[in-house]
Amino acid sequence: MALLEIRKLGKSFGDKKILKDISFELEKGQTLSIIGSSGSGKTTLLRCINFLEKADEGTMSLNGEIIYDAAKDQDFKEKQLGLIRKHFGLVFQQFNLFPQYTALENVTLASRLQGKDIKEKAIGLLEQMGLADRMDYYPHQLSGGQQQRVAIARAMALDPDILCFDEPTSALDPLLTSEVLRVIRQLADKKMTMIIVTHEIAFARLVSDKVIFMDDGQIIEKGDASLIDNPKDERTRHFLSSLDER
Amino acid sequence: MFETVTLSLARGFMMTLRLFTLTLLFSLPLGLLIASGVITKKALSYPLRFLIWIIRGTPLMLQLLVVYYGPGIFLGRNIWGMGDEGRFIASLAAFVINYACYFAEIFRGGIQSIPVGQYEAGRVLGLSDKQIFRNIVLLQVIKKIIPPISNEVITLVKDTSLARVIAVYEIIWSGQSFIKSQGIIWPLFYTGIFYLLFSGLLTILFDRMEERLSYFV
Ligand SMILES: Nc1ncnc2c1ncn2[C@@H]1O[C@H](COP(=O)(O)OP(=O)(O)O)[C@@H](O)[C@H]1O
Ligand SMILES: [Mg+2]
Repeated sequence: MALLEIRKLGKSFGDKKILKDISFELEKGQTLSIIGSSGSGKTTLLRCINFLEKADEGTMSLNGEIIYDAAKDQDFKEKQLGLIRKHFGLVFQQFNLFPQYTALENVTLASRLQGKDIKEKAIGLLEQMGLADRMDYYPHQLSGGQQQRVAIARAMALDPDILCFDEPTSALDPLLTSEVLRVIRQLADKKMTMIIVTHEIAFARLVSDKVIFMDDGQIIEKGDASLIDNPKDERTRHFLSSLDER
Repeated sequence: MFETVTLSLARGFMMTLRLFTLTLLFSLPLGLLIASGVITKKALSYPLRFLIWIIRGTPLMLQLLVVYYGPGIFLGRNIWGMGDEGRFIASLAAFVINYACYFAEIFRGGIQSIPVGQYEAGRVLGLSDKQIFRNIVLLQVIKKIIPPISNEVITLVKDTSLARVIAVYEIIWSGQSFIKSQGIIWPLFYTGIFYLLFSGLLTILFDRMEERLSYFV
């Protein structure tokens, strides 16, 4: 049984349909990459999965159990959303670290507010992110790549079933990009279940078990990582070649 | 002579301080209330913005006169009570309303300047709205608003002198009274020293607060 199953997900803003008929499955331990041109709805999809937006069509299931059904759950309040959000983590393009807390405090804050002391675990996670000597730094004292790695540790600290990344390296220059991709790859090797929106095609080819191509709010192709080298759809080919030109 | 003047001015300054302190005490929370009304309650937002427009668009001196004489003219009775205390309460009311509106705009600007990503990061970490406000947003807002708040507070020190239009015996009034009684003007100039010392003290205090929050950006 798939860990995550998304069926016929749809989302509109006003009368503009942003996501249409999105369906896919993700097995435990797999990495899924979502690739597509800007404006194709990738961020919106991740936001629906993390319940920062409520999808207005379709269902989401975890381990075969429906956790969200747009037909009846759209009136979920923050409290209920908070509960189902626990299954997911999200790493933002802009990091969104909390500026008044150190790297370590950023990682421990959410648990501390639940009355849990996870300092040891947080230290371990930051070490794993290569930040052993940066734990007591404030976000503005860290490079973008370091900030993003803190953000990854912060998301990991809550043990999400599925960790999502929204273009985690788009705000970084190439050198910093590679250090962030390295730690994401480590997570893939450790069989963390992940959904990664990225334009880093070479990286996606390397870590993905599954790949989804999106265009205009729809999935136009999905398959395993080999799809990146043999896309069938004309739009996919066009998009990939436009990336090559950069 | 110098001693007599100093004592007299000090008495006037006590009144200035009283007006200053009580105005802050009431207008800061009221301002926060107005700001949260403007931000969260659509129905409240229009009348509150209207109020803010009126208050910020007219001179405080005029507001003092309207607050003090208005009830007598429009309701037919003086709601402020008799004598010095009544005039003081009326001026306090005018100052509180006026400063609450300015503070409200500062609070609103501060709260709305926090990037939405901060709220969303809190949400995906499972924090409640209350936890997000208390543990993530609040300190960032405070840091943002200390400079404009300190500006307003220092302006308030000097604005208290307007209360004399409804005969509240603050320090300028004390200074001026020596012109009439003794024909000397230097006591009036001397009041400046009191203002300078006090606003200097406030400046040091606000600088300290800024300094304490300078560890993050
Ligand atoms: N809150 C919103 N309100 C209205 N339109 C939105 C909103 N968020 C995204 N959109 C629109 O949805 C489309 C998809 O956006 P997005 O999901 O950010 O795409 P991507 O991440 O693939 O670049 C865009 O046309 C964008 O303008
Ligand atoms: Mg996007």
